[in-house]
Amino acid sequence: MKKWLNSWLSCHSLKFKLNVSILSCVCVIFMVFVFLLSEKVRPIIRAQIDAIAKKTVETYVAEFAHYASDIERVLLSAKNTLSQMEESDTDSLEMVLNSAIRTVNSTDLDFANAWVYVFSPEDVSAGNLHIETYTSDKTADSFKTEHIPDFYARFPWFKEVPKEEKVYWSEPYVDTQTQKIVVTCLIPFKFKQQDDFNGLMALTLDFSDIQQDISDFTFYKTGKLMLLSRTGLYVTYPDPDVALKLTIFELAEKLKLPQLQMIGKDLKEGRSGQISVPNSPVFNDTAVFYYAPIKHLNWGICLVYAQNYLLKPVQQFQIVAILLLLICIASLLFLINWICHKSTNQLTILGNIAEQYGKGNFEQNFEDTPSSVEIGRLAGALSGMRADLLEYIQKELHEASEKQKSQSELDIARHIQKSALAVKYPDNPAFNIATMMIPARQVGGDFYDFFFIDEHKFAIVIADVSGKGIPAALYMMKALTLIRNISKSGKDLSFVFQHVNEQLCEGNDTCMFVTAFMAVIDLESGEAKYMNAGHLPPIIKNRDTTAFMYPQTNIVLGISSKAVFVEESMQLEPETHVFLYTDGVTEAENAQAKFYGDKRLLKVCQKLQDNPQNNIDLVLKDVRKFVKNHLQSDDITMLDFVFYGNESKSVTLDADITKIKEMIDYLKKDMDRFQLSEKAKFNVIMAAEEIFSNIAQYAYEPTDKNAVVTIKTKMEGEHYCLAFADSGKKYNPLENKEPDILAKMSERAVGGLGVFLTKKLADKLLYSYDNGQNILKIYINRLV
Amino acid sequence: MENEQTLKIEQFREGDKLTCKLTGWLDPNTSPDLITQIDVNGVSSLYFDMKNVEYVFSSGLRALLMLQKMLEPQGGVVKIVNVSENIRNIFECTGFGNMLES
Repeated sequence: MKKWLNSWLSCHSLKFKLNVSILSCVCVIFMVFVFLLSEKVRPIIRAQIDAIAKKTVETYVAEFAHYASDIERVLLSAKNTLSQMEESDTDSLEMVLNSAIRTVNSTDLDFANAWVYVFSPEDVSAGNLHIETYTSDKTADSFKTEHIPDFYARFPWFKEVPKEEKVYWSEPYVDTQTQKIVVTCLIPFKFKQQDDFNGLMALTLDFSDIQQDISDFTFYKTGKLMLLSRTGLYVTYPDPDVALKLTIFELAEKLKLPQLQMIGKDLKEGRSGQISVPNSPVFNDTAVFYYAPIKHLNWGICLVYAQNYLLKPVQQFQIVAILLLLICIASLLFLINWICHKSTNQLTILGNIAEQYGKGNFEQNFEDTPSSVEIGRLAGALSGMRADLLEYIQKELHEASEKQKSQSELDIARHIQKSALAVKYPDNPAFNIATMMIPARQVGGDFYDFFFIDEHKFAIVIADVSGKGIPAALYMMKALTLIRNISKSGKDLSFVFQHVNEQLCEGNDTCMFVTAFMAVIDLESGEAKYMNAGHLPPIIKNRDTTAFMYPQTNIVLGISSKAVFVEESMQLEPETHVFLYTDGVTEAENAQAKFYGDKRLLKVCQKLQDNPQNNIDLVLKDVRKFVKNHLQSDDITMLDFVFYGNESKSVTLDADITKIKEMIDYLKKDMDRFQLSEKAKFNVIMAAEEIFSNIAQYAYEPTDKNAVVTIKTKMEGEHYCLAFADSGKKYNPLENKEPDILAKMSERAVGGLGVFLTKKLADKLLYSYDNGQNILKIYINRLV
Repeated sequence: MENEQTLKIEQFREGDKLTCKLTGWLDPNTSPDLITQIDVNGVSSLYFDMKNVEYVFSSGLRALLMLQKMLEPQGGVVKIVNVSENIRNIFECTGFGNMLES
């Protein structure tokens, strides 16, 4: 519930929420108010109407009772007068009737007629009658005495009336002469000296006016009065089919309203009351009946009205209230929206501005007068934020350009540093070299170097400056330049390092230092002089073993200007590798913070082969395999130097052409000591074969048992030199006549081709005869 | 090692065309085989496929020259195909270039 409410609150606009909440509150309060008021007013109105209804009924009842008692009094006084009279005294009879008529006329009642019916007491029920009828007009001047034989039969009451001395009220009926509704009121009497009743005195009253009066009466438009006779017959009823035709009991049955039966019964028994009939078929509404009996007549009056119709004012009040509510809601809607618009409009503007700021557009600013204190504060804050952001962006831009500048400066520094390192590997048959430096940062503190000190002396250097980045790089440049320049003096390494150290110590306030290993190799003799200033031991791999070489360790460069450095030396066998490296290799760290380590390095160095570049790649690959994706933390620098030397080798073979293959196999292997191009190798083989075949075929007598050839090989500068020596006949092949190679095939001589070919292939041929030996030297440039 | 056969000759004859596929070297030990093993009777074009020949020394050139001379009376020629750059160079600088199938 709370969650729902929160989500509802957050996902609609303020205007919407205010509208919904205020309007629903107003509606509920208004509805409750109207409902309570209606419920309070309804019973009051109902009670009021009930009181009025009761009063109306009672008024009529009282009026009727009053009339009835008047009539009864007239009849009683007439009866008294008649009982003093003789039966034959018709004049007095007329007087009595006239007097009664006058009395009745003095009331509001309409008089129909008055008569006296005289009969014999012995025969009142058997119909053995002597009937004389006296009728009289209202004017009472036409008194007649008539004999109407069927008069008795005409009125049913004759049978019961004379039995007691009491006023009797007939049921209403239609007078045959006037066609008006009349009611006859009569009293039995006895003439003077009579023992039994022998007459009836009657007054017939015209009820049509009363009927009209009651029929015309309406009670709050729907309400009607009804008059009921003693038997429950409707004397008056709005429907003419019911009036004087149906009793209340019959109607109750017809309309299936048992309540009407109850009313009839109550009235018959002289009780008054009130009954509500819901959904009355007459009104289609709740009908309320109010009834009371009329004394004397034993009749009843009933007032019926539609309850809700009378409560219509309440409904009208409700409708008016709802209309008022609608007007109220409309005005509230207008008001709320106006206020919301006033206050949220600026919020929307502020929101748009903030959005623009977010996109980096700072042109807009909030310049309206704030419509509320809160918006004023918000606008102030936004404006402040804009200023701060602009300032911040300015600063960031400045910093970014500074950074870019220093980045490009770093790039230049890296370039300078890279170009300071030796790149071009010397092409020399006596050795081969490859290097690699991967700085951990843009610029590194490691360096390697290699250079010739003179024609036969080659120097290799590896060094590591303490620290990293620009300071290390600057110091490295200084160390590199110093070592290279001072080495070129040709002095020994002790001298070189002492001077380098002195100069590195100068002004070295930051206490930087360099560890370095340097070796100078005599390419002729294979003697290597070396110096280690605090650097890691190099790995030496020769034909048989691979091991760290632990030289005497001198102090690092740049710390103590008075330090003394001691040079050492060793002899390099051909095919010996000197592998130099920095701690970036052995201390390469993997994700588990473990070092690559010198054991693993030594192990991979056992696989070093002829090609130094491949060797460097091999080691680097192994380091990378160990480190995996972990960030490189230190510069990685390596140098692999392979010494081949320039040893002169010789072989002695039988001077026999069957040894050609043996000789070629030997030369092939021998040439591997030096870097000869494929074509140079081919040329060497070609030339050697020609010379060897020549000696084998022509130098010795076939019987000579000591027919041998000795071949000495070595590098002389850039030339591979083969010296063929034999003790055969003295013969200088260079003096041989050249064959005519332009001659037609058919005219070509078969000999002389071999020497010719050798001359073509060799760069230089030298012949000498010394100590009984023919010596032919062939020089072939190793790079043809 | 001694007297090791260093040349293999495979011959394919189609009418008057003989193709010899050589494997190995043409040195003084092996070159005479060209003369002895190849029957040039009725051959008008003798082709040597030198794809698998490592070296052709002067003795080899001489043998080829002799074959050429043997073919000349019957109007035949010797042609060398599939030579390496190095061997081509040898043929050319010794005046044997016209034997090469261009």
